[in-house]
Amino acid sequence: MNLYQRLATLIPFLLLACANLAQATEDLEIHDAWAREAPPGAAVMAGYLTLHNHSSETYTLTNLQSPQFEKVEIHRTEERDGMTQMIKVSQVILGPKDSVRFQPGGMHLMLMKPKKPLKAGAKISLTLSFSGETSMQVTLPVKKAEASIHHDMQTHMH
Amino acid sequence: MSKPIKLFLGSLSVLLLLGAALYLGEPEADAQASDNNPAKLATPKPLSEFQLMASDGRPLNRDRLKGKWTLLFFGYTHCPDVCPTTLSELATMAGQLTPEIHKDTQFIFVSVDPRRDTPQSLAEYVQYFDPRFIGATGSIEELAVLVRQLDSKFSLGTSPLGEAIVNHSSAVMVIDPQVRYYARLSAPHYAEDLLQQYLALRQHTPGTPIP
Repeated sequence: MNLYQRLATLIPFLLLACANLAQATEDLEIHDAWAREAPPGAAVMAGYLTLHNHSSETYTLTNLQSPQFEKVEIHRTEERDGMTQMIKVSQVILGPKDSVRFQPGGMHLMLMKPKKPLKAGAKISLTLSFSGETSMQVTLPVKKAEASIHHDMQTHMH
Repeated sequence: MSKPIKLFLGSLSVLLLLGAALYLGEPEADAQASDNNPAKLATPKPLSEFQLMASDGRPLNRDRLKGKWTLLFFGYTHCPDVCPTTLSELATMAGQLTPEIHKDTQFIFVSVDPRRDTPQSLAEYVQYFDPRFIGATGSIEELAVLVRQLDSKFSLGTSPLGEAIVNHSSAVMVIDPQVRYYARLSAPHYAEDLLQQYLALRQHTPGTPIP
């Protein structure tokens, strides 16, 4: 097999990858993405976003990565035994027409060990990977928290 | 100084060895909430002496709570979600107080993570939210003295991967100028609600000294 033949064998995979990406972009939508500026001394930032699934398929979010952080995890803040705890979430299942909200005091992205400090105004690029090799890119602007952001969440917190 | 340090190191090594959570503070049966304000205790509980070190280098004890209303929150600086959210809501709320009320109100963030937080590191942390905020911490034993009196809890542990685990009560505790545990504002916290609740609590106390 010469080089061109080798490359040619890759084409279907590349097309498939593109198709997956395009499909995910159409099926899934992300908005209200932002990350909280880390206060001095904090080595972890919290990120928030809303993920919509417009399709009739089920998507399972399995992995998160950002070139700006050593590790990205999903955690859920939970009240247990009279204390606030953080529980690691290994995957998020997004059913047909479902949406999931990552919000303060609830499920959130743990952006761990930034390679460089990120102040308000910076942008974080994040890749969300779903089972079935679908992935999606999102940019999270870094902000200082604003009280107004939280208010419409009140009705969604139980 | 050597005894508390020894005690602290002792507790620390136990924690690290076992990798288990240490629970502190026995939440007593919650004092009956008063009729007119669900956050307020029916009978305010006088606090007995406790001793922590504040971020301004001065001790934090009973004396420092006298004559002022105190809004106190337990947490830790490595907490990415609940603590910064609550502190920024408290900062927004503080900004909405009239100068007279602000003058006799103090905001204290008590770190229950003495493994990583020090009064010095807390200074920079709390002032990021509001330059008037005070941070404080102490040994596990010293912290427990205050935590218990405020019907709160915290636990420290280590995950199997070696990551520190800190769990803590998330209510904002209100202590009145007579140094009595006066009310408990439950999470989630929003600046507007905190403001309304706090102002309502003050109104229920006729004769509150305003210096």
